Formats: sequence, C-alpha cells, structure tokens
Amino acid sequence: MRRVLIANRGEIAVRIARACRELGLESVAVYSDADRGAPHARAADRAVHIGPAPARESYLNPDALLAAAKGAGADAVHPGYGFFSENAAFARAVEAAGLTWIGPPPAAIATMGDKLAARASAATAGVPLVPGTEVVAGDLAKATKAVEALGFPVLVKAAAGGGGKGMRTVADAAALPDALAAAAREAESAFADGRVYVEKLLVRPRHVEVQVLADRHGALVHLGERECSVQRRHQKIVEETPCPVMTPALRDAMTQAALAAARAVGYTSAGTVEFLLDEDGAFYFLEMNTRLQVEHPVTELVTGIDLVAAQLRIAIGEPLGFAQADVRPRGHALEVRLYAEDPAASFFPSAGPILGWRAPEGPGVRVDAGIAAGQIVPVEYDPLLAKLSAWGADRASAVARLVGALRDTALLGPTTNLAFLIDVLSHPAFATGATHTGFVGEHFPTWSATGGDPTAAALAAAMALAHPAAVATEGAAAVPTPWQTLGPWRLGT
Amino acid sequence: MSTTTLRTAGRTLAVRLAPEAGGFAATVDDAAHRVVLLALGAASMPAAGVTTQEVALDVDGRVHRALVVRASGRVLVALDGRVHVFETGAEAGGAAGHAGSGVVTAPMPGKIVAVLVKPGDAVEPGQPLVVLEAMKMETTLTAEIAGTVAAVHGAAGGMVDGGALLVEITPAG
Repeated sequence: MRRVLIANRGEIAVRIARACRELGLESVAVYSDADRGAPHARAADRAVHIGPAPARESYLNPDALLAAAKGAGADAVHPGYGFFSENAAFARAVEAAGLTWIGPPPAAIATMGDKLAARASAATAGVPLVPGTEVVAGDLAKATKAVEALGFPVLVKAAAGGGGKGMRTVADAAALPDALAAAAREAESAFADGRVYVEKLLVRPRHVEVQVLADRHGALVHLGERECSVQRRHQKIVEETPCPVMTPALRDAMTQAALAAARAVGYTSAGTVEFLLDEDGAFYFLEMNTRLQVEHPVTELVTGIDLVAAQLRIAIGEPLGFAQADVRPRGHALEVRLYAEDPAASFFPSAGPILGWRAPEGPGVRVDAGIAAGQIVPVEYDPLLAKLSAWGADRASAVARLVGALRDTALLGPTTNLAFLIDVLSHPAFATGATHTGFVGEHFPTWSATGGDPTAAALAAAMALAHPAAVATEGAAAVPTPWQTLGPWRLGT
Repeated sequence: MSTTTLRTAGRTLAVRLAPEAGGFAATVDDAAHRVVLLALGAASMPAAGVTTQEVALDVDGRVHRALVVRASGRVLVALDGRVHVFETGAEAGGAAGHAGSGVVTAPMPGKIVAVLVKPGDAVEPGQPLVVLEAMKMETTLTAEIAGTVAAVHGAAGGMVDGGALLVEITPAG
C-alpha cells in the first residue's frame, strides 16, 4: 500500500490526508464541482475531479471513484464516514478492483448494516438487546399483539435504516397502524427495503458507545466509551469521554459486550458499538457503526492512540502493536460539531460563502476543520463545518476549556450553531452530567440567538467602518509601534 | 469625530467616535464609553465587495476581540461566540434579502411547500409568509418588517434557487 484515495470531503478528508502523510503514504483527494477550491482538495498530494455537485454523481458514484483511483494510481481506498463508508457493495467493488479497502470486511459491514441481522448477531454473542420484535406491517393483529407484549411507548424502525429515516415514536396502540404503514413506506422509498421492527422506547436513555480496534491477526481491543447523548434530529452535536456516569463495573460489562459483538462478525479496523444506557444502569445494544466515527477525536485525546493511523496500519497488515493493558485513558475530552444550521429555526441547514473564519487555539484544544474564508458551503452535502474539541484533566476543566475555545471561535457567512453549543455546554444540567438523548428538547424547546454584548459589537462595527481597509495594518493601534515610526526599511539586507 | 448609524433587530443605534488622547470617547445611543483600539487586523477580501478583519477593542476596561465583515450595506460582527448583524444607516433597507428588509428570498435551493400570503395582505414582523423545504427540512420564512405584500413570486410545489426572490413587502408608513 503506497497511495490512498480518500473517497470523502471536508474535515475528514483533511484528517485522513494528514494521517497518510505521517505514515509516508501518498494521498489522493477527490472533489466535485461544488468543492473546487475546497480545503480538502488541496490537503492531499493529488486531487482528482470526480463529477458534478450532487453526491450521487460524485462522492456516491462508485464508477467515478474507482476510475479516479485507477487514474491516480491509488492502491487503497479510505471511505471516511458517511457516503460509502458503510456500503458493503462498494467495499466489495474496491476489493474486486484489486485495491485495499481501509475498513472492516464487507461481510461485517453487511451484517451490521441490516438492523435485524445485527440484532440477531449480537444476541447470539450474548449482547443485551433493547426488547423488540420484527413485525409485518401487513399483519396488523399479529403486530399489535407483539407490540403490546413489549409495552408502549415503542419506536418503529426500518430494518435497513439509519439517520432517523423510517423512525416513528408510537405512544399507544391506536397510533400503531398508521406508524407501521408510514415507516414501511418511508423505508421502502429510502432503502428499497420496507421491513420494519419495533423496539421498546426507553425513557431518558443515554447514548453511550464503545470504540473497538482490531487487526487482521486476531488482536481486538477497546478504547473505552464515549457519551453522545446531546443530539438534535437524531444526530449528535456534543460528544465526550468518559461518560459522566460510568463506573468500573459498568465499563467492564459494556466494553466486554462491545468486544463480543465485534468478534461475532469477525471485525477488523476501527468500529463503534453503540448502546443505550437506561436510567437504571441497564444497557442495550443499539447498532454497530462499521467505520471511523465522526467523534473519534475525543478518544484520541484521552488515549493518545491515532485511530486513522491505526486503520491505515491495520489495512497494510501490520499487527496492532499494543494490548488492552496498554490502553490507559487519561483525563476528559469533549467535542462539539460546528454545523451550518440555524438552531433558532429547527436547526434548518444554512449555506453560502464563508466570509470570516477564526479557529480557536491553545493548549488542549483541537480543531478538525475543512473550511476556509471565501469557500462556499454547498447545499448538496452534510452541513458539518468543523469539529472543535478540548482535553482537560477532569470534566469541569475540559468543559471550561472548550467553552473558552468556542467563545474565541468566529464564523461569519452561513448561520451556525456556535452560540447554541456554548449555551448547551454552559447549561447547569450539562455541568452536572445529567445528559440524555432528549436533552436538547427538554432544556432548549426554543432558543434564540440573543445575548452577548451588542454595545461592544456596535463599537467594533463602527471602528471598522471608520478605518478604510486599505490603510489597515496589523497592530495599527493608538500607540504607534516601532515598525510604524522606523521609516522606510527593506527586507533581506 | 465620526458618527455611524447601525440598525439591528429593529433598533437603530447611533455610534459616535471622537479621538482623544490614547483612544476614543465614544457614545452608543448617548451612553458614554471609553474605547481604546488595541489592534486592527490586516483586511482580507473573501468575496467581491466584502472586507474581513480583526478588530480588538478595550471598552471601559474590558478587552473584546471581534472579527468584522463589511459587505454592501451590512456589517457582521463575531464576538464571544455570537454573531451580531448590523445594517449601516446610509444603505439600510437597500440591499435585497438583508435583515429587516421587505425583500424575502429563499435561503437556499428548495421546494415551496406553501405560500401563506397574497398581494395586498397587510403583514406584521414575524408573520409566516412562505414554507420552504430544503435538505429534507421545512423552514418558515417570516416577515421582517410591517407592511403590505406588494408581490409574491412562486407557488406551492415550485422549485426555487437559493437567493430567489419570493415575497416583496412595501414598508408600512
């Protein structure tokens, strides 16, 4: 393996290109019409144009990606997350083309990608499941009986589902027929697979997941857990490790369950086993993400293990090189996702040119970004702009550090969730670690972009307007600097 | 001495800056402030007609580090993780689709789900005008000013481009 095609865009493509460079591998970026000039296209050693803006014609076009790999002489493909990362057919196509797939075996992707097959596999491995049952939308009497045995409320889900599609909360038996029909219809149209199943709806559960890493020689370890309960529209916006309510006994049980689930499908590479943690301390298998996770940086910050480098090494065929006892997490880390979206308008996505961007910096602060001033945020893709993370010796100091970093972050142009993220991290319930998947709905049923210091902002605006940009120079303060009083000078003499 | 008129969230602010020893005597709506310009960053131009620069100020003994974007008729200020949008007095209301204007445009490409007003209707700030669906999400575009609907462009079911003109409102009074 010498040259890796990165079948993705944005911050994760930049992240993968860096990891390749550090391992002495060449990288090939791909970009669509909408991403000409995007930072990820200049982060790699080579950049190949793959097609028009719509994802189906570019980042989700297998022929274009394989042709780009062939044309650029790549011998491996890293899918990142999203797009084709959990598509077994694409993974097989990559391998059939004689290229290395930087990810788990396609069969493991296929099993875990089908929620019913995943549940069956996890159950066989002895992993606890959310009480649930497959139902046939057509046989309503039988379905109703099966669901009544679970007890309402329940969640109707698509077997082939993901990203909240085909998902319905059902409060009572009367609402069941419509919910089953609608979920089946939505699943059929989104995944061409109308199978649905029903799970008992847990009240105020936490979303806790375990990072696993396995090489191709039988070594399998976990890298601890992450809690990602703070979500909107079934998507995470704040992630942290460790989980604030984790105990050694619970961690032991949950990580063993995660390893069993991974072992059951012959897993290799990096993967994440997701659980729901009930208020009573019981936990249940949710699904396994057979790819690199968006929130992998928090695990890297506490373990010091580079997950992307590990994926590359595993794909090369190297052994893991460390054992479970060598994984010793230290301190606390949190990540927030900076999205181009409006939290005051149901988190509606935003787009358009980025007019100003200032990333935070400082000890213990990490920025994973794929944006630049002047770049247009396309409407065609996920509106994730950047991931901002912080490490601290304990949770309180990590939160304080991240809030400080966010207050120092500036993004002008598209509407973002930056101020909302600050308000979430500053909420008393977040400070006490009282997080659950309904956190945003409970504590922020409405939100508006008010606050801050409008007087200082107005003064800054007036000051900028009063100073023509042409004469503006760094440090043009009221007190002249030596550079301004020295008179003419020349460089290099 | 410079005077700048800024409009934000329905308010008009008069900002005066008068140089004095080591800084500025400033007033914002007649409240006096002592301002020192700590740094004015190098300006960049991320898009045509747009200037972006850092402005660091000491206001009454507290340091503020802002990123300021100047575009036609508008100033955006990022400060302490929040964004403040100002319209400048001279061109207030003149630029299409800007905060507080009577011109309502599609924020991004999408499908019109419903048109809730017709020409001649009187509207109040915050009143829903058009429901738009984009990226699988619905959003409701509302009136930013009080006035009378002068024109509606597009109908339910129609596709629109980002920035497309949807509703024009003639300001009241």
